[in-house]
Amino acid sequence: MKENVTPKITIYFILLTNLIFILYPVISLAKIKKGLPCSACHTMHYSQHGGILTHWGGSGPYKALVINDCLGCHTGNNDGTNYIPYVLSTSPPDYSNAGVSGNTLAGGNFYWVSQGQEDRGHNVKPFPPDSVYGYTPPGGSPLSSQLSCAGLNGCHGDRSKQGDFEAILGAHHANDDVIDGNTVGTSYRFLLGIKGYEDPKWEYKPNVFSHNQYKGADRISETEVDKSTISYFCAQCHGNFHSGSSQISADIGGWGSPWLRHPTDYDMGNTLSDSEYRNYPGDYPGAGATGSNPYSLIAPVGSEDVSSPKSNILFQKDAIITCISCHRAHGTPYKHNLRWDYYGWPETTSINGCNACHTAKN
Amino acid sequence: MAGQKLHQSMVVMRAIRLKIKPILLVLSSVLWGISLCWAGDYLDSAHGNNVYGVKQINLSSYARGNCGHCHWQHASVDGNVGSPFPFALFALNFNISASQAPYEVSDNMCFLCHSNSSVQVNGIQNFDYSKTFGGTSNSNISSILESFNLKNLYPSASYHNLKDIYDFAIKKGWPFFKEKSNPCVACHNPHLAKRIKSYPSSPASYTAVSLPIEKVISTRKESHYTLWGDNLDERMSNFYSGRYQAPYSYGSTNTYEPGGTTIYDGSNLPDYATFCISCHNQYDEIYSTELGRNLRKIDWVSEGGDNVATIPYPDKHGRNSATNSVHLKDPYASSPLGISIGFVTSCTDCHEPHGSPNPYLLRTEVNGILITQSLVGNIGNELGYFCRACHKDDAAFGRTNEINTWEYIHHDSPDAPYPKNRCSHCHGPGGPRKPPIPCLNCHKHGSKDDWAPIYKTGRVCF
Repeated sequence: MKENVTPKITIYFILLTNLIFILYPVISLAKIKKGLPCSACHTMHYSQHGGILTHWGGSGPYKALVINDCLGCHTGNNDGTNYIPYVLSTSPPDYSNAGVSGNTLAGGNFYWVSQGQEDRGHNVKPFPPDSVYGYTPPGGSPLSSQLSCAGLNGCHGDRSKQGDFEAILGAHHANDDVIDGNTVGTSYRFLLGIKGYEDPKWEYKPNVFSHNQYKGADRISETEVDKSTISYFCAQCHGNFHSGSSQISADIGGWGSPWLRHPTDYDMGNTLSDSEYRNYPGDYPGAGATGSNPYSLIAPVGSEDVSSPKSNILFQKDAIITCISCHRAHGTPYKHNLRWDYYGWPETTSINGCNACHTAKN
Repeated sequence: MAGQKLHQSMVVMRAIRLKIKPILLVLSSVLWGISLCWAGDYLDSAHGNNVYGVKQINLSSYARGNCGHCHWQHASVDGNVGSPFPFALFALNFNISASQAPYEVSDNMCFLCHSNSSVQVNGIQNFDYSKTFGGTSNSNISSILESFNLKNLYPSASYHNLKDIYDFAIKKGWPFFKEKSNPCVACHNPHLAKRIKSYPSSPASYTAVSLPIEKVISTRKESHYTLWGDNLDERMSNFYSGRYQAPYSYGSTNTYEPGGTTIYDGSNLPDYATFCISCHNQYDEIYSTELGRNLRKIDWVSEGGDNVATIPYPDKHGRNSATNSVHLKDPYASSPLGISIGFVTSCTDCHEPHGSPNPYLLRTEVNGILITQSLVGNIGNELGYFCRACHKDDAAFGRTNEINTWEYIHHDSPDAPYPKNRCSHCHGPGGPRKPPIPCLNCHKHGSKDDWAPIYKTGRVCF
């Protein structure tokens, strides 16, 4: 008897087609919006109809055949529909409620630095270097040249590569299903080696269910280093602010109060159960908060488990202070890229994210 | 069938979620907004208030009351990364090598502001207790550091030795007090302490002290993390109900401490008795570097009159009321409380908290009068100049024009304890007028007249 194989082949074909359809955007266009044409980011000859298009950068041609440099592509106003996260605006961004309900993203915005307010953010090229610190990050050693988005003296990408493009090459197309920190493309926000949960909207108008989840570590000594945490990432330049013998804790045991500097990668679950810290987030629950100890978007805490965003804090390695708890990486309207107007409190503002943890100090 | 039900319930749940989410978002936003209107304990404190709080001269970019005036989160400010200090303070908290006064400004973080070289904008004036709450003082100090350093000016001055406090706090193991802590925090919580100096008639409502120990009052737990005196049941009027008579305010015979008001029952005064006996009690050994010995233990709470056999004997200035009679001046003699015996006093009625030109931190103004005489001398009864602010001496009885003689109450009054014979046994040799006996032989905390060579009465003498 001869078996009719046509129906089986048809089924296999349909399944295979569906599988390719399902996997296609994931495996090939990780950070790229589905359906986006190559020309949205690339140009073969840096030329179109004998010139360049208005949305291209004017200093091309650019490496990797892209249409602009880092800041060029990432300049714009976030409105919730943009597929590129905008980190630089050319007009004043809306930084309402300490950057939570306006149109800035988790990292803040370079706008204020771009306007000459040099202490409002990281002084990346092409903006002038900081006139006070120069190339020396506070708490760290001098850089060989000015800070850049990526590359040898950059934050994003592979720091063993000299330039922005080389350091980030291929990352936008990498499969980032798992943020394991092993490659630039699979590292949290292309911060090589760092883990974390990436909010798909980069925290555009976040709530407690939808936000980045920052990787932290429940350290047991001031010299311990977990190279996958967001705070460790900052420490690569701002070293003494994060770790080092006799740099963080004056406790006899080497880790705990009295602190010499504000701790990071410290889990507030180590505090006494009746301490003020257990009332986190005090007056600052994030939007959509319910239940006990909801996540704060103004003063977020990190966690060891970053498989998904935490809506509530259990003080079980999920109440970890990070640099990002107080600062935004790119910039804010406030000194030292603080998330809130710390310097103005309590005279000119009543918002003080410090009180999310220091709940009895309001 | 089961799958269909599950699907239906998921659809319903999703619909509910979609409806609830916006409501929750709006609700939490409203609550968040409301919460920002609340001012907490720190903002009400002397340091955190945005009108009169901390404000360093050299840190103009920080708002008044801002944490940054004391704490530098990264030991870095304005581009200068310095050596870090415990508690992320901008300077050394306490120099434990400073074992005795006089102290330097740099010995104690608090002195950087609370001294005449204050880094606080416009400086800070702090007078002593006598002047702030009693009305006047002759210590002539205007800062906390000065009050600790009065030995610079007066040989007989005394002060609350900071290293002794530190050592005691470490020995007690109070959870809040760390190896790097500042001894001032044994009494004050800098994040809570209010600007008491500005409210001399309401020191309880604007109290600056916190108990170093935990104490349950009603159902509340009072401790370092709460203010002491702010609640109605933490006032002197509550220490021994109906027994606290406030002393006169300076120069007045109708207004009282603190602050010179008509309030006479201690209802506006923190219960400093309970506060001070957190340390100075009948149990704890407290070493005094200045005295070179342990302090006398003080039982301010026990009763039982003269019959108590436990040492230290409970003080009659505390709850252990006078047994027979007492010869007091006003306002005690005609107290509006309706009693003429059995009073309880507040430690601050007699003692300064920080320092005094007098020994034993005795105040310079007591019960409305300024003590102008030296309380230290060769005779030994000089302390009587202090006691006579409240207790009647012979002059007050009209028996002599000479002040600070005490023959009547010791030998002539109806309940006089000692007969007028065999004088030399107690007074020693001398002419017809025998030399007085040093007051402290008998009149000190926790003491009976055990010193007396003869005629011991067994009465509690303090």
